[in-house]
Amino acid sequence: MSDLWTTLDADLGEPLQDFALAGDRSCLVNLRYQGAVLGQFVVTPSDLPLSREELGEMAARAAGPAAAWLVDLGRNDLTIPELSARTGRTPRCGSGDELFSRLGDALASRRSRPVTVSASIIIHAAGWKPSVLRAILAVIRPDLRGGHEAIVIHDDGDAKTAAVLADHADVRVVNVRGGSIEAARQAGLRAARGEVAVFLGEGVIPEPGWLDPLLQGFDAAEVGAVFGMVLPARNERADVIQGHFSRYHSYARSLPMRFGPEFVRGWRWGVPLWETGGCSVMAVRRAAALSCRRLFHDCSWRPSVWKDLLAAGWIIRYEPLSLARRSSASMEGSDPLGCSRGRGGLLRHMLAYRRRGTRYELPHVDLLPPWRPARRGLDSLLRRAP
Amino acid sequence: MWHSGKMVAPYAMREIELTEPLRPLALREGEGGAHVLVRRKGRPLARLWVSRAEHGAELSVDELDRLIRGVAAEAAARHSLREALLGEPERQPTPSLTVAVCTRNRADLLRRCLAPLVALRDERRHLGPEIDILVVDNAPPDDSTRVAAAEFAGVRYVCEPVPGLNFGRNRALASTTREWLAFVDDDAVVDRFWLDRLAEGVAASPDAGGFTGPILPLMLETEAQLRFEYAGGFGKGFDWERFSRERWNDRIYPSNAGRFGTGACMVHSTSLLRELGGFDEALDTGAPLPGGGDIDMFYRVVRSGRPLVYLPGLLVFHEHRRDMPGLRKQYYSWGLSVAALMRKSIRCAPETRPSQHRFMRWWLRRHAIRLVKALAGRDVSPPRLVLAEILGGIIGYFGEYERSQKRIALRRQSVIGQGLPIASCERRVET
Repeated sequence: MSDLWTTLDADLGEPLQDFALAGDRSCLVNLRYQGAVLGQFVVTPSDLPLSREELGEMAARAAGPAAAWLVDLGRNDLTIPELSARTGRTPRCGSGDELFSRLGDALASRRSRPVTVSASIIIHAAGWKPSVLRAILAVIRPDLRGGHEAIVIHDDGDAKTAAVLADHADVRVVNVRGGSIEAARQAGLRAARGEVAVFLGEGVIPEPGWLDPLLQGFDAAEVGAVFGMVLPARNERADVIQGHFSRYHSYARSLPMRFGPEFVRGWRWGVPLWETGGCSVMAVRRAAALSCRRLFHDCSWRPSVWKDLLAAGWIIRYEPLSLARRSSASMEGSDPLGCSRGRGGLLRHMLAYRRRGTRYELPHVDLLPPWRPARRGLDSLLRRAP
Repeated sequence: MWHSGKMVAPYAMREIELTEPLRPLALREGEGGAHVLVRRKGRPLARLWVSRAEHGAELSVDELDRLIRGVAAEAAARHSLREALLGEPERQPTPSLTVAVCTRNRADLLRRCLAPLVALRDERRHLGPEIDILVVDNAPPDDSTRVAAAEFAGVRYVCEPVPGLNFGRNRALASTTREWLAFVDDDAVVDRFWLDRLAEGVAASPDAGGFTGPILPLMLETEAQLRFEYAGGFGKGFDWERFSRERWNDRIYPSNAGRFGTGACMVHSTSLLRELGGFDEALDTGAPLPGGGDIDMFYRVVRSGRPLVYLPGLLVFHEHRRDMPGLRKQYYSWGLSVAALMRKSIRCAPETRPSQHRFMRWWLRRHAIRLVKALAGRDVSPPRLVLAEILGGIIGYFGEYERSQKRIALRRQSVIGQGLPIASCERRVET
């Protein structure tokens, strides 16, 4: 089998047809309806050919529960830990012939929520390929007409990205020489004028229409952060897509979620970033970020960091209607990092950490606070290693 | 975990159809609980365990609705989406099919098995070729089986003189001219929608090498039956699945062929069976190696490149072992068969050694954990059942397959009869 996989979008609103793949690549199929992702499944060359009926069975298996939940939830979010048969909350499901119309109504209702906050989109462009930066700026350009702004955190020694930025006079540029992603995000926060700071992770390109669903989540003063959904790029390394699917294929990823103080009491570890796609697409209320010092001083993809936000009384939401794609090959001149937890994955991360010296290279570990001293010890050990 | 206070045999067998109004569920005098099969438009979605000790003698509609939604909501959602995507399926024509029932000296069970098959055959006469029902009488001690088969019009009867289930299966293979060959155990009863679902499956997956389906209990009258089923039984769930030659996220696949289905209900492409050389007569021989023949064939079908498709509607009800000694023998035979099969697979296809060894390690680890849990009283099965399976595995690993081959060679010599040659080692699966 090829080392590269493909990601395909299958629109459930279109008639199903017999399924075939070009070449010998395996494929991650995103099942979508009116833009929303309802589920995923994997097809390998040995699975082919798939008849229309077989494809229907696989799609129903992967996307059925999310479709029923979205109809049931309407405009509301799922409040964790509601997502459990043991709590008695299960979706009510009607017949097949009315499912799509009710699903369409639910999605339209969700998308019609007003946007009541202004946004500063903060992009840390250091080390990115110019083509990626250009693609992101093209996608977000229409969003800037809505009163929002874009800020690119730029290393002024990087001539290639400077050339791209020269074509975008509507983008503010903040120069920060060297430094980690945390330092860049802090600089972006300080420079931002919007009520909400929106961050795009490394190599993440949003899909058109990504911003409004994120900002619609700030419909109450106590909402501190909203995360969006991230999918793998269309052509990606096998281990990256496999890691993504292994972690994230649960149908819960297609459901809007709300984490509040009751979640902190119930869960020891923190916000399950493994369910929400991590911080690749995140919008943070500036007031919340400034009230939580650890947020951009420590690695922001660690669940324990976001736990502080919840403990301070803020709400965190996950909005799967905000979609972006992440490519592991988008960093200029570096080995792409996989999301794989497989053998070698940890070693690869540690080697990359030694090379670059930035802590976010370490794989996120959803550990209890007592492990923090061990983590700091490991940090200093690796920095001191020859 | 087994709760002896909650799980008191007998359990009633009930069904609920979600498209019909719910009614309260009442347990009769003497019933310790109910096993409830939840269907939607005839298709099985989930099952529910209701115990008198926990839920009382009668469940109101609201409570029943809550319990059903707890086990069946996701499955109902999948079913709804399937309907939305594919529409209501039309009734498919009957495939070219022989249904073989291999039996020995169990005439009453045979009658119970044949009755619904004959009813399905007659009900679908207008929908394509009439299915061929074949009784294979394995080394009969008398003519009771022949007499029982003759009570049903149009049911064929053949005799296989060499004792052993796989001899019987190969006799069925030699006796059919149909495109598909189904096997149903003589102690099983097919569901009323069995043939409809098979017809749909064949139409949807024309390249399949075989089909399997769920096995549910026919009755739960004794503690042994209840324990077996509560521990999972033959259950593989109610989700459609297609098993291809490779699976990217499963390191023991396809060595874990036991997950593909159970021989109590399996349907194979006749041409593929012949291409693979038929069933391995050194497996499923009856004592001392009474299992493994079905799983061996599932494994070989999948490795041949033709997929095996699990159809949740291809439902069969099976009479489980009634007493604990019988259940213990069954667990022992499972361990024996799995290990014998593992050794056979490595011998016949050395390139599968890494996968088989990974499977062996997985199997040992899983059973060690189960044993610890059972000793702590936290597993549904008592420790002696888990130990029986582990013991079977150890004995099976050390030469049981080879011993079985010698035994059946002696059997053949002592019996006059015809059969296909030994399947798997003489005709290797093309990789």
